Amino acid sequence: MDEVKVATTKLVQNYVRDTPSSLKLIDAYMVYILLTGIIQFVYVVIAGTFPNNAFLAGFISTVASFILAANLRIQSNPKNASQFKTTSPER
Amino acid sequence: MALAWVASASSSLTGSRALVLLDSLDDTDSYSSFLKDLEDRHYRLSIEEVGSEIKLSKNDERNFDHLLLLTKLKSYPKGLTAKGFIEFVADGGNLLIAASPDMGTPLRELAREFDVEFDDRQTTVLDHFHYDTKLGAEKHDAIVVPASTNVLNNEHIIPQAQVAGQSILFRGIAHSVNPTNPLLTSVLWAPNEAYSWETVNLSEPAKQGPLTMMAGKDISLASVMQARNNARVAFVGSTEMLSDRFFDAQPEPISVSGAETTTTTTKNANRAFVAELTKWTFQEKGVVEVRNVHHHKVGEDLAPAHYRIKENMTYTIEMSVFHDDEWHPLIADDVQLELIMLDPYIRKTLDRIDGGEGSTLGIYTTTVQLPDQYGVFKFTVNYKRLGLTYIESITTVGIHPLRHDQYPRFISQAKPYYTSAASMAVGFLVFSFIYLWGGLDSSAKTTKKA
Repeated sequence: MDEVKVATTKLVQNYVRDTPSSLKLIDAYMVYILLTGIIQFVYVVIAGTFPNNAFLAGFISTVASFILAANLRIQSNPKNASQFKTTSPER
Repeated sequence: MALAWVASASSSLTGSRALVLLDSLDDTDSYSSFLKDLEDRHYRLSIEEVGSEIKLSKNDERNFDHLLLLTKLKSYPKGLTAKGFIEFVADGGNLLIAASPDMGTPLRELAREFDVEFDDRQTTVLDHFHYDTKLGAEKHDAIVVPASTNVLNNEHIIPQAQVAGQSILFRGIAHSVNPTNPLLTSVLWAPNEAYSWETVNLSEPAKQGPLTMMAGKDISLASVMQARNNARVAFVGSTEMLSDRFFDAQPEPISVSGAETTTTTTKNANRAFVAELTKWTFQEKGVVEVRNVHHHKVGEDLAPAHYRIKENMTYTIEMSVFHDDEWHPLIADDVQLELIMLDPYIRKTLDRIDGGEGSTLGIYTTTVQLPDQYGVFKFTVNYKRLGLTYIESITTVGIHPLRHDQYPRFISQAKPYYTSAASMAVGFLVFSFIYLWGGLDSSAKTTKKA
């Protein structure tokens, strides 16, 4: 149990210290999208699928946003820079 | 003008021309009361011998509206076969068939076409407990049938009030009706103790043929059929039942109690029974017509070109029934409306509205919510009851789905989804703004540090 605690603490410390703040922003954005999607999914299970198209619109918009954010994070991660040589630094 | 004349001339809705077929014109006298009753009800009778040439139709038009076979029909009349009689009925003509134990094969064949099977040749309905002491003393073949228990209780065919407590005198042959045939019904059946047996060679049983045994209530003495085209056919197992002799006789049935037998007298119901039977057969009563069918949306008066799913609508049907020379409102509590598209989607009993004093319309109405299903629907009233004309009223109506702009919008249940979609849009803008101009660490620097 202690090892897990130590590992977690170290993970968090390293994340806070080493991750560029732009990536932290993307992470925060993705967590927000993830929560929105989960809440909708729980809601549809409880309330039923009646306006099914509205549910699909709401849920798929979160999925799409999540995928775009994930792509942005991969491309702007300095560790992956070698794979995206043509990408401009603004990204 | 001609139609009005026909309607006023006869009590029957089919018409007044009746053909009576007899074995010989001499028989006319023995049926004088029966024939006079018909003439009093404004029938124009043509009386012919079976041997003469009979033309039931000319140029595909019926020559007669009603046909009465009071004959053994040993052979078909010239130029006529069973098919000719069937076509007469198929053409809307009404038919009365009276049989007797010595009936001919053609008559048997004809009855068989209508799913009515007469018993073997020379058999007679016998009853040792209900025979008439005057007419049937020798063979116990003239039986006295109590009308209260052995006449079908159907007010449209033979109202109990006309015959209750009286007796019907019968001497003739048994027949059976196919119980699986819904068009055919027995209206008079034999008492429980009766049976059908060969009456020739009674003293020499060895000479009697093999007999199919019919007994009790299985023996039909009179039965009726209403064909799908609403033409009516009646079968009576006894020509004598229609004769003056049986009309006027005072039935004296034997009554057995223990070892003692006594005779009583009852009132003769033959004339009343035959009158009601012929009234029904010749379309003088129990004829139903649909007068009007209305349907409209609730709150409107006129039928729309089409309905929309789940709309509330009102359906009304007006029906009249003919009896006693007049149209009357049809009174029933089991008229149902069905909304059918291949399957019935809605089936609902209609409520009767009182049409007011003197109205001849039985008005039935109901309000229903249309199903959540679009397509071409039939509003059907399928009312087929024993003794009444078969009614099948079909109104075809289209039910449309909602138009694109008729669906509900901003459903409260869907608000979380709307919020989510909107927050994704706003979130994307806020994120982009901060990401691009938020003065965040350049990623390259951080990499170097690490």
